[in-house]
Amino acid sequence: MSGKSNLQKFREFMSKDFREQLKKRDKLRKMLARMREKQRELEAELAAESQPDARERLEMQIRLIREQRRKGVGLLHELRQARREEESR
Amino acid sequence: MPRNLPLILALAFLAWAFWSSPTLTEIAAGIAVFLLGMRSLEQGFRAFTGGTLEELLKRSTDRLWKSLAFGAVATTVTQSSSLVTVITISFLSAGLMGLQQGIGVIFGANLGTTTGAWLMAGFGIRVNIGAYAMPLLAFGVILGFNRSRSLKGLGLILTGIGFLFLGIHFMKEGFEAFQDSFDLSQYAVGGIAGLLLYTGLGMVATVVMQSSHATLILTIAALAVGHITYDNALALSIGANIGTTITALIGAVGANIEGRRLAGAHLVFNLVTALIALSFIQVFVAAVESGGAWLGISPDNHTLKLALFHTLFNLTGIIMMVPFIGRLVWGLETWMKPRPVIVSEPKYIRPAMLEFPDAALEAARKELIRLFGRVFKTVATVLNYEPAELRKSVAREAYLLAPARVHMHDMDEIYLSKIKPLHGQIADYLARIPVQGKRSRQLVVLRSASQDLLEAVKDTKHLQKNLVRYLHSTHRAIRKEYLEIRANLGELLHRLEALSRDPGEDLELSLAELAARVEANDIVTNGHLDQLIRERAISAEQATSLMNDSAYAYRIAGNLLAAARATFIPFEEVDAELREKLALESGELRDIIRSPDEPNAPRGEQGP
Repeated sequence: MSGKSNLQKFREFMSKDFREQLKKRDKLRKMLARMREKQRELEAELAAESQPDARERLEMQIRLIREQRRKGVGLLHELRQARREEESR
Repeated sequence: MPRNLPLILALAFLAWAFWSSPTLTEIAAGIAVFLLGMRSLEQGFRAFTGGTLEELLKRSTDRLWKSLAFGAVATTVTQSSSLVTVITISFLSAGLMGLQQGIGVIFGANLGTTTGAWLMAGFGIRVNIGAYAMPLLAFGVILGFNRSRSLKGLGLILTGIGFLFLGIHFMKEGFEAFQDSFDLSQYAVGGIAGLLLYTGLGMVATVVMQSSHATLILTIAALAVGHITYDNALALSIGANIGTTITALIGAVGANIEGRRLAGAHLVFNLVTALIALSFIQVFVAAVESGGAWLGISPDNHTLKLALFHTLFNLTGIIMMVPFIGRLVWGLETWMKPRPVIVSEPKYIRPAMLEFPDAALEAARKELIRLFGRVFKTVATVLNYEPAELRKSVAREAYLLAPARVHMHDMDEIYLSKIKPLHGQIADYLARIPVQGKRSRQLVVLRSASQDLLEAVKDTKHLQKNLVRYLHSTHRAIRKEYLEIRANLGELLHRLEALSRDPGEDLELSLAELAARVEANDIVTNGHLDQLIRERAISAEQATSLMNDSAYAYRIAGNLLAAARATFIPFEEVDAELREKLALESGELRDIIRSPDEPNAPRGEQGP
């Protein structure tokens, strides 16, 4: 049985902030998944590329996307943390 | 002759008619109250625009059948096809829907408008509708005093319905009293002549009252007491359908090309439908008889039969026209070309859209992309690139080639004629969009983007002075540095211009890559300037100029990138906020450039 009371579920359902947060979290997850996919594509491209200029460009793109993903993952943690704190209150 | 002589004559005639006949006064008052009710109802529903109605419109128009259903349902609920048409034109102008979907909504609205006849014929005639009007008016007025926009809107809707009921009551009473003193049915005209005469009368009445709804209600009220014959009532309803397009055409005169095309589609639909109804009137009458029997409508209930006829011929019109919507769109786009846009005139933003914040914000975003196009041309021209050439993809070496001739351009003139008028209109428009809640964030983002573009132009003006001077210079080292600044900006402009036309799926990555290049090219932070000074390749005076101009170039690039991030893809609140948070700052970009050894995995990475 879930630890959440019906009252808690109702409170969450009624809270606009909560709904917005959920929406934001889902969007972020999707964005991160898309970015991971893109990173894999770029890595595959890099493995097949032999031209130094093109390799340099691909490497830069991979580093950028990794940094963006790192920020995104941090943000996802923050959102999860905020939700846990909200629930424990 | 005074311009308003026809109006004076019409008022004088009405005054005489009212004085001579109290029953005519009652009928006219009924029409006036009914029209007032429609206006109030429309205003009430407008209070709910900027949210629910737009959201529904956005979600319900991706397929043709959905557009048709939306038009029919929205018009049935609001009882105002003009409100639905106005919102559709706004969305069409902002590019939030295509002409085909817009036409679908208008066709659906034509069907939705027929529900008014059913309400009047089925409910308004049989019961004492005036009795319902009183409490509705009282509740409506009380709610109207409320401060809340929604409650005020609800108050206006209730008042509107109350006035509609009261208007119908007056018309009904008026015709009943009229019946005792005067028999209009003696003027009934039969045959084709009657059909054409009453179709014309229906048209004129609709144009005068600016409402086909009012004509139909008046027709039903007169038909209910036998003042007009059933055949003539059918012709009046056909006339009302044609008349309403004239109202739409008058409204479209001041509208933009999308509005005019939509009015064109409306005209074609109603004319074709009316033509079909007039040509096959006997077939329709027979269909109404059998349909009425099937629905349980008694043969002598002419008012309900009129409502059925009205629905039937509009439905036939839709069924016959829907397969040709694609051709209609093609025809309208071929025959109705947009006027060439005057340079200083905005192309997307329209004052009429201000009532619908979603459409207004999207139009402002598109107008800002247009402003970006002008800034692109201005910066390219000042850098002595040919804008058309800069649009083409070329190798890095081509950007570095020195221009054949270096010109100094009058930046003040370019700014005043090309940038400032459009920027001013966008700023004015943004200030007038009534936004609340989440949309205010979008407004701030767009306003800031317009400022970024303006700043980019101002910095270009500052950059031009030394750029022209040193591109003419015979000092090889300093000339090379300015050619680099020019090439870096030229390449950035080329990439951004391409992204403004097609942002692709990875706009964020493309922008981050461009931003990383801007950071890497910044000679102040990458140590190249210090190296030039240490090696005495350039003089101290040249170093100061180069430092200032590099800073201008850096700011131009940063502002163009920020404007691109804010405007190149449609805004969706959460996405935009996340994109902003995930965007890499200059410090982070510099770290990436300085540490080319790629880590195996991002620091602290966890799969999403």
